[in-house]
Amino acid sequence: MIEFIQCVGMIMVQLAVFYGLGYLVSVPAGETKIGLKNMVLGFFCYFLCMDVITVPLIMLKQSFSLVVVLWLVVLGIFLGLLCWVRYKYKVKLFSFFQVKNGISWKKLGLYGMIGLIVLILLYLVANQNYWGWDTAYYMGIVSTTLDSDTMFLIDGENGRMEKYIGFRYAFSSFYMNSAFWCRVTGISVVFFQKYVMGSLCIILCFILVCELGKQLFRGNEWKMFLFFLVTAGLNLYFVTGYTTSDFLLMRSYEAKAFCANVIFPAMLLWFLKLHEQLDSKKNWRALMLIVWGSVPVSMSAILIAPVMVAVFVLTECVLVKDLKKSLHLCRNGAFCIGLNVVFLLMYFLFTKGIFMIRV
Amino acid sequence: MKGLSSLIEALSDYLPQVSVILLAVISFCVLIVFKKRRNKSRDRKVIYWMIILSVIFIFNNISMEFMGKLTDSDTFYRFLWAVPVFYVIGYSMVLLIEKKHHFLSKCTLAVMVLLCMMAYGSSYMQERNISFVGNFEKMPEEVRAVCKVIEENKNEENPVCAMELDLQSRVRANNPSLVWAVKRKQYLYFEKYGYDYPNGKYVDARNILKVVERGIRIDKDVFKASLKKKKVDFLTVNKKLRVKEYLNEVGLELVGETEHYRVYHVPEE
Repeated sequence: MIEFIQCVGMIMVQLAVFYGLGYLVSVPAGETKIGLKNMVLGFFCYFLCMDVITVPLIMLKQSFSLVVVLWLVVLGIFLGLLCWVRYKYKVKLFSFFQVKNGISWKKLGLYGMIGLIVLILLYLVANQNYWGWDTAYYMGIVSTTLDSDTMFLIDGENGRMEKYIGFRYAFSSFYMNSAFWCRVTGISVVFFQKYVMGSLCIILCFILVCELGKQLFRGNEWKMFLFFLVTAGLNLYFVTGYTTSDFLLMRSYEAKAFCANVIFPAMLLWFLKLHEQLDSKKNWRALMLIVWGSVPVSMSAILIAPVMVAVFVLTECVLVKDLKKSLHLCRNGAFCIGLNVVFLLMYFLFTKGIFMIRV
Repeated sequence: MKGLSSLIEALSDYLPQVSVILLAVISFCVLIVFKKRRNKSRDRKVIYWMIILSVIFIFNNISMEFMGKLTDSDTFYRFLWAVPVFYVIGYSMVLLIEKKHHFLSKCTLAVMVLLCMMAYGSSYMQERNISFVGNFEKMPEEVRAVCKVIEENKNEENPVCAMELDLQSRVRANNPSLVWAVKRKQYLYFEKYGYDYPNGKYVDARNILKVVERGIRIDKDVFKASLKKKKVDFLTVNKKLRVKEYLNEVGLELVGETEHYRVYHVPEE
């Protein structure tokens, strides 16, 4: 029971860290109201920064303890930066909680209902007992990392020494993040992965659903609420193998679930924003952060994310009908997918046996 | 046609839920009509061009096979995630519901959509999805008990353990020092081809699984040789298989029992 309460606390801590990072990337860029969509940006920033630490150390076959120490230092630096940015720019934290001109009961009711439905979904998902091959593998990666103090040198699934570092998962810091928090807090792997990461996937997914609703319906909160209800219902009633809802409800603790329910909807949201305002630097930077942060969250996005960006950019190029603007769009798109292309190249060389690091 | 056929196979998981395909098609039509009526030609063009470019660059066999080679993978169902089916349906349904002027019409339409989902969907709300294992860690007591017996009796830092799949898939989350005797691909191979496939692969894994999964009493010397080759330290067998005497004759040492399992140590020779 105590561990369960610890998990609830960890969910809050993770969300606060994501929000803080979202604040750090958004306020210096000129934003004055930091809401939940900025928390989503903070989520991608978090894993991107963690990848900067973990991937080189994995390649150098360093111990996991070193990652823990370095990442603690980095989090400390983020906290310091947060205080400095708050002091310098004077933008309030958690400003989305503030109510202007009194409380609107309708608004409170709508958001209260959304919160209640998400809590019910969290409860339902916490109860389910799916344990497949992939579950064994991913739980194994985290528990092996903690037990052996190594990273991707031992096969997480069966416990045998690898011949080469497996870059199929090593480029993503998702499971190292779980191992980090398990080491720091002492929470068990299964608890953390199932309850904390699983809940984060659902919370972030429905934050994006609400933001998508606001974007599509021009801020109309009643329509956003209906959109949320229909989407939640579709997720609940169309659960089959391979669908996004299967991963959201049955396997929400896997990186693939984040890919299907957080990365791609976040990209869709920013595609919609950019569709309205193609020359918005702020939105291009946000899209770049999401796409750059996609591989550190989930390797499943390594190819799909840049392809989605390419399709979006080419579509807008066709409609813009101006060569200079089209080239500008292509340049922005190229920046967005740059890091994914690097990862893809390295992964391709790994699959061909060229880029291999012997254990 | 490997890429496209793999995608169609994944898509077939959607097809039993004809309603979601129907809803997606209706939603798409609603979207086009809505954008036409609101004179949003740019939005309509975006939808058309995204579909065309998606087919040209993603959803065709050449692209899928190329992408499969690039990532050394043959699982393409993830590309379906890039298609925002639920969000399109959600958006269109809200447009339809809000278009109705009377509250009763709105409710009727909303209830129809809900009934469609409940009647023709594949609901998450089934007992197998939402019943507790009995502890928050989702770790059956038997798994913990078996891990405890192995931990108390092990001489090695990382003992190699052979057990039935149900146990094996969870033990390493409980005790990551344990090593699987039989790997995933070997289990999947036998799932596909069975244990008696002539000239099959993974002979030692097959011999071990015949005993621990099925309770088949294979030749004792052959079994001992397979255990030795796989360097198995512990064997865990379900009591219902009734192989106690057989394993005693093979020379395995019973080190512990749980409610449903017996744990044997494989002595070094």
